[in-house]
Amino acid sequence: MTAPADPKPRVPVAITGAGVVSAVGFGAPALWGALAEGRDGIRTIERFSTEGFSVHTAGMVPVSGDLASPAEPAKKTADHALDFAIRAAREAVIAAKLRDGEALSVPAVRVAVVFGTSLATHPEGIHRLAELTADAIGARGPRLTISTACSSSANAIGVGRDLLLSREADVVLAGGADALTEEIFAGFHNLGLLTPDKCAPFSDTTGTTLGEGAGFVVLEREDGPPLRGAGDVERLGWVSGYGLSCDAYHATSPDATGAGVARASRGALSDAGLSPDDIDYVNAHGTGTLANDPAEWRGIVAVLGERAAKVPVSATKSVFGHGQGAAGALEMIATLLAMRHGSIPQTLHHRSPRPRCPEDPVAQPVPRRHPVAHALCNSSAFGGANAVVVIDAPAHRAPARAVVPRPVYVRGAGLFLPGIAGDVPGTGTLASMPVPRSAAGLDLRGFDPLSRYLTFATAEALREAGVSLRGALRDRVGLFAALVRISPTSAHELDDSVKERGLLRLSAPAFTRVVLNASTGACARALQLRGPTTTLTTGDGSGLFALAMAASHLSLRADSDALCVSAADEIDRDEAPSRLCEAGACLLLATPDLASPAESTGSARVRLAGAALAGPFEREVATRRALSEAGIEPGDRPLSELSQEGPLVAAAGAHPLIRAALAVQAVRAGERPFAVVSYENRSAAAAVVFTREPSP
Amino acid sequence: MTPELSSYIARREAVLARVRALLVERLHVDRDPDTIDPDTPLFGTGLGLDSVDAVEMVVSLEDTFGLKLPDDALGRRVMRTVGKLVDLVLAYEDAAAAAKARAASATAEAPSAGQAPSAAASVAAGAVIDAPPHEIMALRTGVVWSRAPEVVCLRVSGDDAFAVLDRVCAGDLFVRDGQVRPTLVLDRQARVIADAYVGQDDEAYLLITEGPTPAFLTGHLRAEAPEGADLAIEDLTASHDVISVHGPYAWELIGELLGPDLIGLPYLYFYRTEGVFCLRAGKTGEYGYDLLVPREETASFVARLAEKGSAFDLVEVGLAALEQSALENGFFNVRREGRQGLTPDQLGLQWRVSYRKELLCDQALRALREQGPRRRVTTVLSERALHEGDPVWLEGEQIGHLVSAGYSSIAGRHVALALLDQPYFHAGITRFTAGDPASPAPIATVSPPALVNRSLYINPQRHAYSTREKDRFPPIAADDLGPPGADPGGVP
Repeated sequence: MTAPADPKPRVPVAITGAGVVSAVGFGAPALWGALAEGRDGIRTIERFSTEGFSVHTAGMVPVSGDLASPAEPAKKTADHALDFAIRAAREAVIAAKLRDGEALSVPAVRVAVVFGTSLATHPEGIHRLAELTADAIGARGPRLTISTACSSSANAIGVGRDLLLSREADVVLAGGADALTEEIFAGFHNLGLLTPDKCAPFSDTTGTTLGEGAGFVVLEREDGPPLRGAGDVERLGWVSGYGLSCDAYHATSPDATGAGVARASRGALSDAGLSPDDIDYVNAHGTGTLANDPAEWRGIVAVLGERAAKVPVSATKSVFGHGQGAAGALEMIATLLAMRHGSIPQTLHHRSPRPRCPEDPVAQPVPRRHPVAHALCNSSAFGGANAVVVIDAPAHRAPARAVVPRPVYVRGAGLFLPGIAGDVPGTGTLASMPVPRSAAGLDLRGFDPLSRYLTFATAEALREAGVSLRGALRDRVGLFAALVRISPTSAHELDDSVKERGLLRLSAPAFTRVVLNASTGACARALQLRGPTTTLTTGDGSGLFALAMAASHLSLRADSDALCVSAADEIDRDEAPSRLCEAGACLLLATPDLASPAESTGSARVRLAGAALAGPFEREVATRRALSEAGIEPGDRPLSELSQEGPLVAAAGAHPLIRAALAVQAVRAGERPFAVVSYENRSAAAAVVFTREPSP
Repeated sequence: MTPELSSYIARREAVLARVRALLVERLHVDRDPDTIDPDTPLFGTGLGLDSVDAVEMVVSLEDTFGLKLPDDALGRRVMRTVGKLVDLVLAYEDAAAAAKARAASATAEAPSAGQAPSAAASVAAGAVIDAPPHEIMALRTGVVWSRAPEVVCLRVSGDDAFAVLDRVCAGDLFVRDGQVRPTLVLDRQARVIADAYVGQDDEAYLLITEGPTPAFLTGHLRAEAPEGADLAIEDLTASHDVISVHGPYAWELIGELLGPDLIGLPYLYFYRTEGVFCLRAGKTGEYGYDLLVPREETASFVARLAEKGSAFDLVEVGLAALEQSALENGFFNVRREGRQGLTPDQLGLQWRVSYRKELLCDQALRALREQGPRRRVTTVLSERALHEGDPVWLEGEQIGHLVSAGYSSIAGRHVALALLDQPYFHAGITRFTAGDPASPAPIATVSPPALVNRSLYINPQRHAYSTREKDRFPPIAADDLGPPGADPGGVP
């Protein structure tokens, strides 16, 4: 038996730098300048043709030689997003005084990058953006990519905070970037979500205005690396908590009751140790669409109760448009900048109030003088992904608290392996695993193969664990999904519709499936997983990184009792034949607080006793830290003897999870006292340790 | 049968086949094409399509049939049932052909005149739904309420609850907490016993039905449960009253009564608040809610309803108004066409049947499917009175009979449901007559819904009862023709 864990201090996390590229210009000062003057950056789109569309404007980043490499119209979109990201990241790093000449003034391996982006079409996988941005600033810690569509960067900032609290890094650059493409513009247009006017959230004119850009912040623990040139690093504020949730309701429409936004907000408040009465301002997701605004307001009222009527709620998308994956970071930075000037950002272009929208939308041309100690920053996205961040003004730092880590157990595993013939050497009995019976009662109309595989594996893990998701339990179980790319089937469906019918008539259902977290949202919807939900991608082997993240999320936070860690891979039938195979894999992690069902007595249980992340190709560092967390002394044996790595089956993202599932089996059966599974790539390294415990 | 009629039916069947293929191939509807009946609703849980699919549907219709949907208002009107899509395609083909013919020669064909109403008195015949016009008007334009003693709600729990319900209910029970699925309870000959919704409510299931008594239904469930099954059945309607609220502004009154969370409640979702269970369902084509109120609180609840309802000119309506609304909107009525021993294929309700799962009436269903559709219900309109039981005629031959009849005070037309023989069971035909063979009433077959409902155009995020005068909506009217500007889809 493991002794009760020691309490771990929950140290405040400071924001020590910010960098911005948006429609209102380059740099955080430009953003504040636009807010202060009441200027928006919504302009005619020139990067691509909008002929035939009924909307021609967006919050486009101005063409400027100021970028590291100029944003030429002919450039590939991924390059635009990368340009934006590198520009904003460098600004943030310089503002935080982390540069010492060309090098970082702190150990590079302790600097992590968490990159949020919705852009799902980089030729080598979207995780490359994080790697290239990290390279550009010289960071050598873990580089994680979060892709939950329009809540990506808010989610990334939360994950960055997790990395600091679990001490996987000492400094984190977190935020996100996205560029507007003609496909995204056409998709939103076809869904009827765009306004021909300027986006005016909570106003009687409905519809959103798309945008683009990058926003990054530098985060560090208060007890972090010695501050450079002592005393002269300005703290912009504190990230004191965040919360994630999934609506589990619809691919694109928000749950009209706002319950998803409310769950994420409650998670964020509890993480921050704050009560609704502490909140002075809400920076809303506020897209301006008919569906979003009233639903979000319902969610805010559900959380803040009577206080909602007294709290100003504004939306900064009216200034620089909807920055997609960068939106959360851009809006949080806008809030921080306003707070530093003793004010809150306004909602521009607001004409007359819409029913069932905030009582005080700060409808005025310039920011309002209004002191803020604690603010909520909301983000919501396709796939029902919500992320809410709590930020505190510099003088209102929440006190450090002690958190007792909860032990994490592997309660179930599910595999979907349609194409494995016979046993795989060295694995015991890994045979072809067909569609599980547990998937029989699920409505999977409109699910692409990737979403199906993810759902099959997750349903099977829940079944094996005997967990039946009903009532309030659904809010306590979440989904951490790892995917290396969107479904090739959906990607082709969209491409074909554009080729055959033109952008104006692209397939709307296929468009909703080409964000990476579409499959996560579909799986959560089918199985009613409404707790903390995210989508991670770190390229090859993403599944293990999600497992390590989920383990610490579950252990150190109180807003869920179980997380399904799932990965899936779908083969592109148009690609040259390769040795890759299709797969779905899920491990169900749970704390002893998971109310249902009572664990069967008698058999041993498997604990996820250690989990660690480290920088690119630092598998050994990750493994040593995971073993040390598990209290296992590796002795003189080389780590390669202890740890299983490398693909066992050739599933791009899922393979280390499949290996982990087999390791869990072996440990449960008593074939070995513990098992280590590790993996490394250009993004990061991860290791997890499973140990055996007798049943309680 | 005239060559014109047989060629129209062939054309209609060909277009139906293409629409079915489009639904399966482009919109990923997970059903065999032959089980997509013309009266199947497209949205809600009919075929499970949603607002995103609607966008793709418009593009697919345009691509596949070369037609153009001019505006959103028409889109809403057309995208309701499979049959409405077929109507649209045929109307466009006709309009295109007529334009071509006009260009070719000066002798334009006169469109179908429609038979002049005859003064002949109707023969004494079967039942007619007799709904007071003022009740219908309130239901179609404002808010009405009704006591709904015909609704039965059972709470089914226990480890075997799902298995038993899954065996008894004909559809795929893709149930989720807070949501219900429309389904049917069938007997072993696959005849409909009950019109049902099944939902999951935390640890239990809800079976909300019309048709059989609670005792019969409970007995049926118990009879189908295996020996020693863990099954508990509670009749909630023994302790609760069902009150239903309907109308294009029903959502607004419900929001005021039960809180703003109810305003955005999607179709076929339920919510529990202040001790009241509220299911958004309704079978009128307008916003509709069934409320389960503890009996001891019914009196005070009704008083509050009346008080809040005064701002909405709330009217209490009887069962006839609800039945008439169901009839003209194409909703299944288990007390009319449902008591004639018909099977789902005959009722156009195959969308509520799963052919993949094991059912008690598997054999009967399989046999029905193999033999193909022999008879099917079709909505008909007439200028003259129609009655349940009236025979339907084509050139002196009986081709079916009416299984339900009423009068649509909104459309100004008599409306009925005809059970017609193959191959006559199609919309868009004006050659049939019904009733007394000596003086039969001309009837026109139409695709349901036969009305353009106000609720189609009302958005709770935008509209309010108090501003209804200044909000502009398309008129509430009969919807038995093709799109404006196109020639009528019927054959001469």
